[in-house]
Amino acid sequence: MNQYTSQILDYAQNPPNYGQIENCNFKVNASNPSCGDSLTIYLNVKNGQITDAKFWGKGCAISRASASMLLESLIGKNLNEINKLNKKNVLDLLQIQISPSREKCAYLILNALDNIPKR
Amino acid sequence: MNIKKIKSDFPILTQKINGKDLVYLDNSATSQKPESVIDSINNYYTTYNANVHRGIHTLSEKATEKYEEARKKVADFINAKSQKEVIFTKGATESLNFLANSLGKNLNKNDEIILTEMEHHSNIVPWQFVAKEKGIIIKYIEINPDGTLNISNLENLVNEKTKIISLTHVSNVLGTVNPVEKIIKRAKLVNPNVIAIVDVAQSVPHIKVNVQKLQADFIAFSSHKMLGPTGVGVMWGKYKLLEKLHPFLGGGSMIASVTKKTTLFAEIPERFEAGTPNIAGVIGFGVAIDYINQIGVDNIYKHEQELTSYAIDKLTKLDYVDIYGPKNRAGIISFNVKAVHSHDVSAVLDNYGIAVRSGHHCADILHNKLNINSTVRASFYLYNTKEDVDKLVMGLGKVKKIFK
Repeated sequence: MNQYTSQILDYAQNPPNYGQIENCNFKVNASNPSCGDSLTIYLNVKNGQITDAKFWGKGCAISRASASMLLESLIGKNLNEINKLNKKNVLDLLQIQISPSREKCAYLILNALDNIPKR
Repeated sequence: MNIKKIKSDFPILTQKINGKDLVYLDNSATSQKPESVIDSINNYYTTYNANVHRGIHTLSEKATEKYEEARKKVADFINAKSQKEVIFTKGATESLNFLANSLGKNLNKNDEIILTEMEHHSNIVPWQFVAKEKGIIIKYIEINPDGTLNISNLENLVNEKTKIISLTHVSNVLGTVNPVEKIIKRAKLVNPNVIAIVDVAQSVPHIKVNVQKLQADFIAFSSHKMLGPTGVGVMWGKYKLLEKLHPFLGGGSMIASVTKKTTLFAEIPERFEAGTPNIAGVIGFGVAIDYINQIGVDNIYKHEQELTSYAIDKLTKLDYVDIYGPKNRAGIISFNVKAVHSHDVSAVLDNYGIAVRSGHHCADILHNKLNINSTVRASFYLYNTKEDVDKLVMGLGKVKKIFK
């Protein structure tokens, strides 16, 4: 039962999209108070298309990898695609088994994206 | 202490987790149960299941006798003057809610309550409820950077408006053993009317607690942290104070008579135990106390102290581990692996069969004060060995290797 595949560790320890975007179009937060995890998500959108997406904050390897990979997958997509995102999309990217106690880590990014105002 | 024999009394400890021998180091969350406790619960349901204090029939009489026998065992264990001073609840949390509710009835606007920054949420939130309802002020004894309480200015915190001081005996995160006797004595020197409550949930399973010495007016603890079943706790109070205490819950068995307008309460302790209690749990708790007595709580303390200093010594040698809390402590060690989240540490250790707690351990205020996001916690009990500590150290080596 190895959750810490090289892919997960790469994204968790050196997430390519870790950082903040000044003057972004959307900035939303989500947190898991019981873990002490909190993510801030920054999105830039042009003509309805996501052009940049970054995250910032504290989190465990699973929550960081999940945020990084999902945000990476959103670049170039229509902003409305966010409404269709679900847990399976996250699991497909992570390619690991998520135990019930780690679900809230893996899906923190979904909670954050849920906070983007509905269009 | 024959640890091999002790281990063999706990059926759960023989199992494999992820293909490895279970190393259970999450005893501050809950302890494992010896076979004798498990058997006693089975025996109750199999041979004398009946309600207590009600039926005039053989089974009910036996259930009542065993239930009351457990109350006597608890009273003797903490050296209470009378078994009537032992009230069964569903856990330390309920005991503290009980006290906040019932003592809260006599509080008025601008009265003051003193807590500490290292309290478990169960000794904070119930008081915040009362504070909000009644306009009461909560003051906190601060934590020093080394994880001890700063009691240098205690006399400035206590005044004529102070009604209650409620504090933990042992920190569930840092293992700090607070000088509660000294703190209560000093508080009562300033204001003799202060009611003192001590949360002994983390101490009574491991350290001899004698309520005749503790200076407390009330104490709260749970069965499940001391080899007993979940769903059972104790609220002990001095009899004179219990006589003045309003019941927390109303219902069956706590009444002497009920009319359309009013209710006469039953005697103590029944007055405080409305409804059918956790009979099997209480009986099992009594058997857990038998087990602890048979080993001796002083022996358990000595064993845990040896393990703790052994573990601190080993962990200190790991330059990638930060340990929190004071040098002298109970068998609780919270730490972090540098640059690795506590959940990840815990998940890797689990792959090696090692069970530790990660997160903030229901102590947000403490974590914020020490400016830590979350911690990994290893906590010991009588069945743990130096080999368990060695496996923990090995596991942390694996964590370091994965998150290089």
